[in-house]
Amino acid sequence: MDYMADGRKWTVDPRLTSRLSVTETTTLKAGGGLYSQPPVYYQLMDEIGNPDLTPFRTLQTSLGVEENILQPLSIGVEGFYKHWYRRVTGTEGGVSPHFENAGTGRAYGLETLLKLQLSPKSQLFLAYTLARSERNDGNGEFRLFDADQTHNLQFTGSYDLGKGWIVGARFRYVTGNPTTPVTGSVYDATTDTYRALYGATNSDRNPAFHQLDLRVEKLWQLGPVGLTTYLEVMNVYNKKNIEGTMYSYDFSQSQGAQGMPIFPNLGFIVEY
Amino acid sequence: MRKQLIPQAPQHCARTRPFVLLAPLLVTVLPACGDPMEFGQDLENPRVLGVHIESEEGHSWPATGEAARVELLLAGDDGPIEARVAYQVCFALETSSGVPLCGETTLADGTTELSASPSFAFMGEAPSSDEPRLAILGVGCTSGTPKLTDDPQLWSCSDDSAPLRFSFEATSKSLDNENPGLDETAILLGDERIPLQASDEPASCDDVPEVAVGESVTLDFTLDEAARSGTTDELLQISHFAEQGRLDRQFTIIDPDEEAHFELEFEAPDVTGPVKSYFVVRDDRGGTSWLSYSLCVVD
Repeated sequence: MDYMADGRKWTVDPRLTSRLSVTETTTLKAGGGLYSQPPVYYQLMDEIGNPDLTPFRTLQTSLGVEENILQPLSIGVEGFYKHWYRRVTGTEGGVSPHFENAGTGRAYGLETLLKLQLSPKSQLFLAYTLARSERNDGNGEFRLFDADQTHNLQFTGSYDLGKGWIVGARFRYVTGNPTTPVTGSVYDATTDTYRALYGATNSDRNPAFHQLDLRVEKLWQLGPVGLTTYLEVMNVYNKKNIEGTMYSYDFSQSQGAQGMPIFPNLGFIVEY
Repeated sequence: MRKQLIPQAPQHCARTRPFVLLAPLLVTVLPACGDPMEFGQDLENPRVLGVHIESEEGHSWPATGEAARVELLLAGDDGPIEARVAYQVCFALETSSGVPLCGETTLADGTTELSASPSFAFMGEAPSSDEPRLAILGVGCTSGTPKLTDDPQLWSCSDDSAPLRFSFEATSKSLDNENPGLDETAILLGDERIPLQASDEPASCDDVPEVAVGESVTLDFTLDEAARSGTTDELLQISHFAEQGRLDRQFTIIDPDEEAHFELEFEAPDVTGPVKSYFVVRDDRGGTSWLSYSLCVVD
């Protein structure tokens, strides 16, 4: 039970999670519950917001299984569904009362996690999530959520070469975030700037993001002091990941905003 | 990341407090950059550069029952351009973002004829309590017929040419404000004074200072004292545009207590001939005025 001081509202959020060992190697798990989140403070302000807003709610459910097929290999699979209601949405054009609890949302997908430990010196993790997250802004139509990622693949691994040497790698592949295309602009003669006109919300996407990072480190144990030196190279193959869009003054031209290029990083860590 | 790649430290170390002595070092590689995008001060395409409203009493918005005339500054890379303009003058809904939306009260609407200085008139009216903002919405077309609707996405030209969409907003502070006076503005190139021109005059090499092809020069501006409507509490925003060559910036901001004097760099183009430039002055209270000047680019 929570009390929202800004909006003077109580919320009750019951939750339940459970795990059931079906066999020595198989575990079922399930969970469900309600979650609440108050509106952002400015959405409750008199002049620019709506003081009558209530917290928005989420119903979250999940069902999964963990399986240790063989001793070094374990797999987990979990499906999930989330439903948002009373989401705070802006009114069209920002017309008073500016914000309403008119939105809903849903997200569903499947998470898988594979762990492999072939020896005490090695660790491999592979995680993959297939998901879809959508929002309805009160107009009856669902659109993609700003951070919807259809595919999210993460691989990490490390190996202890002995004598303090450890090598590791990480690879990520993620579907590009949805974006809202700019379809034109209107010149604002009051300020000599341009206002963008937007197409359907989140109807476009950035290109997929992928990146490989490598790391090697050496640990020296000097009595009670441990000195680790590491060299890591992020974005090894210098993928020019597009993480946003830059526009010209009147939005007639655009360029992708690139993320981090190849980035070598040398560091030291002292532990005592 | 670190936890995933590095096994747990030995037991005697796990109880200790790790800290980073030297964090990331080294080499950054600059992100690759694409072709530069157009600069706002370059007049590469036909554009609206300003909206000027002048009431019968010389104010930047008409009082109730007073007539006012609206004039647009349109220009491209080859001087003033002709356009038809569809317009609507209205009280706007109270919105917090985006293009103004007209409420129920429209003060004037229509379409102007093809003109290098499109203009139209309307009559001032007192707003109701829930319609405090005034707005002018419009779309211009250098060819074809402009179409203005409730949805800015649909403001267009009948022949699919690029629409020149624009909006202007005014508040009550515009009612007793005068547009900036610019007639006594002085622009110097060295010791030589550059003649001021009306915006619709064609560029000419007659009696204007010369600059060499590709040469960078400094223009020295001293605005007319009347740019501030007789008071000194107005912030001035000056926008700069050139048909060709490159001005070093689009905007100059002059604070309320600051002298209205500034310099502007101009790099001449690689071709000879007259180059027309514009400056548009806004006084932060709804007042807008503009003038133009030419330089002659020679070998």
